[in-house]
Amino acid sequence: MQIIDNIPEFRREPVVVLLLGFITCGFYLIYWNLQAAKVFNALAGREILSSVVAVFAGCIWPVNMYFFFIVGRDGLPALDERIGMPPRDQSILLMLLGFFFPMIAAMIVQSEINKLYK
Amino acid sequence: MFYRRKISGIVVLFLFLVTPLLIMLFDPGAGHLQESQSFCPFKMLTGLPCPGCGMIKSMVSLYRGDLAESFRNHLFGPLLVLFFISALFVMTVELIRGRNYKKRWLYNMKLAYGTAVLMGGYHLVRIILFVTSHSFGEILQESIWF
Repeated sequence: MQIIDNIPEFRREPVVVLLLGFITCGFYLIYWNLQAAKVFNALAGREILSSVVAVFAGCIWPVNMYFFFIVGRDGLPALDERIGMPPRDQSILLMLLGFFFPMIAAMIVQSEINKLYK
Repeated sequence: MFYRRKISGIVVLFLFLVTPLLIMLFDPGAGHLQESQSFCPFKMLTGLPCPGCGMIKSMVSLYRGDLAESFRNHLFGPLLVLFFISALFVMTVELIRGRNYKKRWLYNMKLAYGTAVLMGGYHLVRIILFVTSHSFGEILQESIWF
């Protein structure tokens, strides 16, 4: 994995995240959660997402809801600050999406992560 | 900020633990939970179980006192309940004492990768068993399409 400005590079097409999530019967989301947790921890400059919890979140409801809640509450505002945008709290939206459509929530978060590398 | 985070964490953990209890209380009868359509979006679309399928059933079985059934529904169900209860206890103590305890193991990458392999292996075995024990038609019946 490349490191860009202390942030691990984790660039994927959001639709690829969705497709891989389905094709691999959810296996890919375990890997995706781990990599996303690394990016957000690096962005925040502290460990906001436990890597162990990230693995559980890739496999197990309702841990994925908690994962997306933390991403929305702490991760995405840190990302917004890094790219010079006003921080937004999307915790509730992502938590609900994590409950109903975790792969769609992952797509949205991936599209936000991709903004870092533009 | 510290208290807000701790309280929201405690509320979320409490809801996680209580939700299966509510499902259990409003479950109309034996076998209903096993037979009704899964709410898992992956299973609804493909008929195949996702890595988390069976978790709620496992928690409900545990609350009913049937540990063997709980493990059968999902190997990690009882472990997850134990994890949630421990986390709830630690967060409550942190809230009362007004300080954070170090939880280095939660951020240990080796432990994370080990857990990922364990979970992935379990899911793989479960999918193989599911596919070999169900016909194509039966798998489709697990989805919303039939």
